[in-house]
Amino acid sequence: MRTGVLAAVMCVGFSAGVATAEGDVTFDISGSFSADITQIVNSSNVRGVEPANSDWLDGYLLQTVDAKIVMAATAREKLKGSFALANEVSFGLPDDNDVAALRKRGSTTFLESAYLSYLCGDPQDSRADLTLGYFSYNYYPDSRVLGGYLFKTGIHPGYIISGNIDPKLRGLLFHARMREFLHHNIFVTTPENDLSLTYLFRAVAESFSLDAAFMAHRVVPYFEGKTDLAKEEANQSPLLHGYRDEDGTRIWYKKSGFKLVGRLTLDFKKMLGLNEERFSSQAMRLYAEAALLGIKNYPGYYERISERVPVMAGVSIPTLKLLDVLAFEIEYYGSPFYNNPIDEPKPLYLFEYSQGTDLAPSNMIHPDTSDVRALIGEHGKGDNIRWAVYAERTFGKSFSVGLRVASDHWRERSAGWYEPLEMLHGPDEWYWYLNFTARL
Amino acid sequence: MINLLRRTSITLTTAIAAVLCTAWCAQAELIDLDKFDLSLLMYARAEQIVKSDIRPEMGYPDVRDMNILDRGLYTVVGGRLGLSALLTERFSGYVCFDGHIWTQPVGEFQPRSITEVTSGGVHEAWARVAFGDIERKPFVLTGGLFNYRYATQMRDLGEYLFRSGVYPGYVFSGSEGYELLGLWLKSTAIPNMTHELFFTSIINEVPNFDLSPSYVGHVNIADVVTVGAGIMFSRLISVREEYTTPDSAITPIAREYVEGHGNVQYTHRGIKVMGRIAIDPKPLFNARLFGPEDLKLYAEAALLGTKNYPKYYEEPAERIPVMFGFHFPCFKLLDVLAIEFEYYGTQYMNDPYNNGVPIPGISRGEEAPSTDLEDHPGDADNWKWAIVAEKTIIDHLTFSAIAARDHYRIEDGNGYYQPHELTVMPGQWYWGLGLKASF
Repeated sequence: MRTGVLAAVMCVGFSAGVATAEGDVTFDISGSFSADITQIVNSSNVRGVEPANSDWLDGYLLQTVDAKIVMAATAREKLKGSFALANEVSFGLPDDNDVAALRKRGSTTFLESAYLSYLCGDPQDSRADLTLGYFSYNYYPDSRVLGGYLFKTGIHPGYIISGNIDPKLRGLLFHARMREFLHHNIFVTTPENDLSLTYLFRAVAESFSLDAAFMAHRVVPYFEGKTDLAKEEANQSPLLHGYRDEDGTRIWYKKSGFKLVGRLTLDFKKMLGLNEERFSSQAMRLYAEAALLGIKNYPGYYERISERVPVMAGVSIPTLKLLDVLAFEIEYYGSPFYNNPIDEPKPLYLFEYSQGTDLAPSNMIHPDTSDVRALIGEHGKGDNIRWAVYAERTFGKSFSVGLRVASDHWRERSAGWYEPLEMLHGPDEWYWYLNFTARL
Repeated sequence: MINLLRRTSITLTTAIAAVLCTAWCAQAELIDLDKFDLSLLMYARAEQIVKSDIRPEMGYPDVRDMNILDRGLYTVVGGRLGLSALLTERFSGYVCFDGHIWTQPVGEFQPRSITEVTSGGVHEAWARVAFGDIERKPFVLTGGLFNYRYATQMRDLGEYLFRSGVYPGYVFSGSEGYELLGLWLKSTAIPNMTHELFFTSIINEVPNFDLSPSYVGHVNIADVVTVGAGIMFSRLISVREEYTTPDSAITPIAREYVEGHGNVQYTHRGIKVMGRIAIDPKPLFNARLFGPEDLKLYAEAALLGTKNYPKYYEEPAERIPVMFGFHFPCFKLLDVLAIEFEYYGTQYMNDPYNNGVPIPGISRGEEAPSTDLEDHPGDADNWKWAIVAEKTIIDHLTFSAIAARDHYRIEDGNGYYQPHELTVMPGQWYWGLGLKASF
């Protein structure tokens, strides 16, 4: 391990994007190496082994080192294959039942991306392209911590993932460019093996960008028609939750639903015609995004539309090139429920996930959620505001340092994404994060 | 295998650094890039189990819906990055890393539970040295972790010598070759004959790491007929004898009193033999209209354990899988359209694991595995079939399709497969589509 690190450090600072050609195929290799440290300054999260101790995470330090290699091959300038493999060594949170709360060392090798892309038409001026496989997608380059709701949220329950890791999609993307700045994107993706259909419209001009998206989330479910609902009802499957309609008929919640997302970015440098040599490319930009996580109301947990609308805004401050970016972001999300992905189509009742027993009624049908809201109490309102401050500076072409101070939906990193449990539960709970990255 | 994977993450980081350093050195013209070859393989598969087999006696007592897997679509997306080096005229090496993500149909076989799993690691890593004439290379020694096939015309079923076990005699299917860890000596010194010796470690089935010498040979007769044979002394050298031949102190069920035979001690150790034939009539006539794979006819049989044991391994006929296949003429519209059949007369479930005991059994979760024939498929699952089609376009993309009732198994997340077959009985089958892009 040390040998590998030293060898990587020796390569740092050199732009070594090697390209080699073989027949009609051109290969490109690149990679990156990063190290980061995080300290949780204040968190009220508890663990299962000591549910009364809400201070155990305060001051906790976590470290991660990761290396990534990306190989791309292009045939005849039109067909490209890209494969990225990553390895992550982390010193992270202890097991939930580890009394000593010892930092846990973990090492994971995982697939970062594997996809094919095909350029339609003239490869020098392609108006359309198709991507198939497992790939990251980022339509929100300014957002460093908050936002990116289209692929970083769920429905029923409506949860939000934050952080600087781009979401990974498995499926197909068709992109078409009309004129020079209008982009149409159609996604067919398979979250949890269900099928989701998404349309994303992008208008990207010099001084502004506008994104609008509609997603039919998990619209073709994997389990529909493959399970015997009567049997599940008879056996009181823990994954069935619902309500009774006016006739007393049981209606089960579904994981599927519809999302709407809108985003606007303004670049004041270009709008005001300022001398851009004084500012970094990412400075003086204002961005805002909002989403509706589930169009339709349902009795019970999904009665109030205002509780399903996350809204964020951010601004990057000019630093006269002392920094590449210094950004402030803030988010409001009025959901009173716990913000975690879960297999059931209803949110967890308890605010403190680790406290164990679900205090809610044990039957599957809940005619109203007033008792649930009473249980959650002020917790449900206390975590509506989230914020983040982010700064980054690049040295040369390859080496960058980033600092983040935030109270977002912090989750522990795991194999290129995040663990499901959020660890911060209010704007007064926060952390700092320092990152060093070398790109080759 | 477990230790290998644990070292993989460390190895990968080092290897990544090595590759990046190689790239930097290449840029600095410190090494000759012509001696290195890069390769990239991307792949994606979607498979639907039309009808599957989950039974409580298979170890899933909590499953309430026996049709939970039916009509589910399972996907795999991944890639392999390969780096080969011809360091001298005789010495070469190859390392290949694989990474993929797939859906596991049911996490713990509970309804409405599905998991997305990512996996990555070393797929192959070997060094090779050639002896003898440098042009012909009559002797080639390979050492490391390598993927091996001896019958490339077989598209799904067959290749039993390595894709099987002995005591109990289980078989695997699939289009990928088999992972071997160890030494491989190949000789083509005698014209039209190939002789291959192996000394390998069993890394994918428990008990792990036992060592097995093997021989595979074939004769090519006028490019029309290929006759092959092989023998494997499975687990000849045991890493821990008490695991290879479980004695009563550890696993009582490995020794049984059988009426008329007294106490019988069962063992995983055994000898496998294989014979095969492949016929390609195209050299006998003008075959311009046919593709290179058309009209191939092939068959293979193996004996999984030459020695009989009372009660469970009394009948050799129940330890002989036989397969045959044919490539329909496609006249270059398709690369391959193959149909294959297999007959395997074992009365027991075709699962490699029985808590490490060399007796065929069906796991019942926490209960002791069942060896009662009533709980096993008997003759009902003896026949298997597969239809495979492939087509390559623009030199880099290969599409494939399969419909089969074979020994379909789900990945286990450690580079191999879960033990339980999912398409066992008549009426149970799956179909799949695949795409590969190779650069």
